[in-house]
Amino acid sequence: MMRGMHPAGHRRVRLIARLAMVAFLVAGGLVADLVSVVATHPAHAHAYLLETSPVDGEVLASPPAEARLRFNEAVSFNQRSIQLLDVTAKKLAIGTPGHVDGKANTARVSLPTDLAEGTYVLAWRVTSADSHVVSGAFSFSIGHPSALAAPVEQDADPAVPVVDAVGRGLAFLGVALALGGALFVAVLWPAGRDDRRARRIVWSGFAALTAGTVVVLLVQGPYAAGTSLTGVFDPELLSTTLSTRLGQALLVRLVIVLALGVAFGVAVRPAPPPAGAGAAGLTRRIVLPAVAAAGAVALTLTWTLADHAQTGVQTWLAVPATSLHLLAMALWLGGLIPLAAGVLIPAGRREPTRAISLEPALPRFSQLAQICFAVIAVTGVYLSWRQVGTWGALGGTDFGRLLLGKLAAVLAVVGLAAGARRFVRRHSREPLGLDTAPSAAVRRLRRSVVTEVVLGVAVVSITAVLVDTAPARTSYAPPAHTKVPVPAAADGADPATGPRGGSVEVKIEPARPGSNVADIYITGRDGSLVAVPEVSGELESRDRSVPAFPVKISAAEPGHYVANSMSIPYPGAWVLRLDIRVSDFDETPVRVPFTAR
Amino acid sequence: MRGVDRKASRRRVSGAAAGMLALGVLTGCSSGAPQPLTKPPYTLDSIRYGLVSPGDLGEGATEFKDNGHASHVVYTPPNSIPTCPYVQRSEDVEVDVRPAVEPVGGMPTGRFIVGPQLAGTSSLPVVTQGAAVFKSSSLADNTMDTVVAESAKCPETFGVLGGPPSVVGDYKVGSRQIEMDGWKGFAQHLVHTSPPEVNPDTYDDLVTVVVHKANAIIYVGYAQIKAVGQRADSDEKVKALMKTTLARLG
Repeated sequence: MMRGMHPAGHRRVRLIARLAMVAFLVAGGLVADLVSVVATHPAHAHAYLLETSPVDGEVLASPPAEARLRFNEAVSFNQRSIQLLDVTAKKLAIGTPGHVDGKANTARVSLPTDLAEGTYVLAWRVTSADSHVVSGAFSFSIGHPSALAAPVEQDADPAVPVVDAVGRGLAFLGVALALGGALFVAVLWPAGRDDRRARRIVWSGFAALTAGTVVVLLVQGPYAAGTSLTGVFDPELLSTTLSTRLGQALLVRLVIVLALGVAFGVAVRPAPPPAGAGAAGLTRRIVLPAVAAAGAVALTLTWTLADHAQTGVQTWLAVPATSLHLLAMALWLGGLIPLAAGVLIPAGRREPTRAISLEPALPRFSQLAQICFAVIAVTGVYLSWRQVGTWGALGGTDFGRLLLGKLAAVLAVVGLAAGARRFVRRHSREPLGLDTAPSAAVRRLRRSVVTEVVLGVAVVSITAVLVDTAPARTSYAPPAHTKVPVPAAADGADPATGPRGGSVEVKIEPARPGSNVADIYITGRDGSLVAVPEVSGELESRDRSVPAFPVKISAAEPGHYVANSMSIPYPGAWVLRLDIRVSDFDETPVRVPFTAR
Repeated sequence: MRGVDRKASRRRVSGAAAGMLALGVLTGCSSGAPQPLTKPPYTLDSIRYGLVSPGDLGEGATEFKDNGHASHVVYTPPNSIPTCPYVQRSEDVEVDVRPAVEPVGGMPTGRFIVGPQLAGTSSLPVVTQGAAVFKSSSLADNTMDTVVAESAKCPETFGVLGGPPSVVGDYKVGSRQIEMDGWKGFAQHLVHTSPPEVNPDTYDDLVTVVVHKANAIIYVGYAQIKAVGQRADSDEKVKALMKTTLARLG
């Protein structure tokens, strides 16, 4: 049973296998922890502020003891996430922000008791469940309001998101080479284990994945705190990042990368003669594939449990779908690169320096790629629908436009891949197999595959930016534009010149949380504008979960009324309730429903 | 056979390259954006590219420099930037608001009016415009801050009881933030309705846009007379016009 293997070598293999299993179980435990967090706290896209105490614009008689901010979902923050500024934008000392007991969606911070009279701004910057940072500010006054002399600056150093995107892109490319490359070299291509170039490509994938993950881990602190790149090694920021779901996911990823690296190292070691016998053979046949498969799945979960997949609609389906999408991309692109570098490029040379066989690596990879494309197509269509939602959002948002660019690149890849598949089918039917294909055809195939690789890297780069962009479904905010008939109750109006029989047209722009402009046109039966003595309004949530807010409406030209600063607190279904006074004694109510995104 | 394959391959590659080139050229041609004629920092001469010319307004338009006479009804210095037109003639405004701000440390172009050759006989609007350039962007920033602060004080409604019949009546003011091609500022919409016994049929639809970029501030007042019952559209028209003129500035 132990024949042919040195006892010391056997012990080393067993030690490595055990270490890999321990590392993998630790990682698995952390992943399970992340999964449980997701299961118990479903969330929606980016966080948004539901209410504050003090209320925005409130004038208080005395300084409040604390400020509270309630969000729609759990948020994480650090010591610098909440800042109190006076009218000159000078930062004032406040307490350490923390969650209100048992409420991960509510932040509180104690305020100084000796605040002088005047207006103060409370600026906040928190991290949503999908790791995206959201920020805002509200003001309150003590005694009486005073004019703000300086604007509140909350934007992070522009280099931070760029470095973050580069790190994410590097990690994507790395996971493809580490998973797909390892599968190709260790399983699909029998000669791959002995090919130094192919092994180097896979190891460079592990290195890129590690480097990209570390970059994202280090940059997340400054990104969340809104500081510059100099804060990447700030222990406080790093500690805060590690306490968030994203930080934990990145840490887990590093552990899994280590485990997979060990597994790959064992897999490409020269096989002990005779292969398949004894404990070493068992390790190669059962332990390594099991570790690799579980590691690959766990690795993809470190993305999908901390990004857009676990926020928004149908998270129960989105997480596995996104994981499959990522895994399929990794296996295809990661296998394609060593296939091109190790098999096709040497084989396509006019005078190959060594005998290169396209069999069986090319047909095996071709079959795998076919399965990967099917998975990518099915999951891609579902995920696109989930993140975009409407056709308008596809062209009307950055996310949608990036997705269209990605789709164009993927379609080009599919076209090239179909050509390569035809090559494999045609030449596999020949008696002597693929290796009898004309060298010109092999060179054409080589060019096609290299172009596929370039396009694949472009797709990965677009994806790195895409995951940092707010999903179109939540960011798409077409202006609300609706027309409702004036109720017949407008009897007090002059039937000839009044709004009776006419309509009220309302345009709300941008119809999203924050300050909006509402244009209200009152038209008569003939379509011309009709002036009325007064229009007043209130904004109420469709489910009436919050009290109605008064809306200040001013007149513009005769028949046109404008609410220049209508504040919508959060996304959802709203009703603009208008009271139109049509004569000195009569008033008619009009309800205008709309959705704020 | 190999030679034939190679030639066919070359033809396909050449065709693809030509296709890509054609696509690129078409994309470039169809973008429609005019090439800028200048770029920041602006000078008194170069900033004029960003002002509306008779050609921008349409056939029948003419231009003249206002030396203070054309706007004598609501006199503001020709070198000033409007913040709340007509408010100085109002008797019922309680806040202290200036109708215009004279730039400190800036070099004004003066005020230019582009409009129909004969007022009242054309559908063309009347554009009253000017600009100021500064030695530095920070000086322009400071002046713009003053302009924005002053315009924010402009009351939403005010009335003018006395004076020439053309200015008597009610004024409604609304302001929105605006950004075009990197120029940021505000568009202030002013609607003037005359007393019914003076003019029940029409109203004045005036939009004043003040925008700032780098070391310059540009203002454009766009005025039309509209029939009561018609929608005001100076806002959309002036934005469309300025999209063209500001693109020339780069």
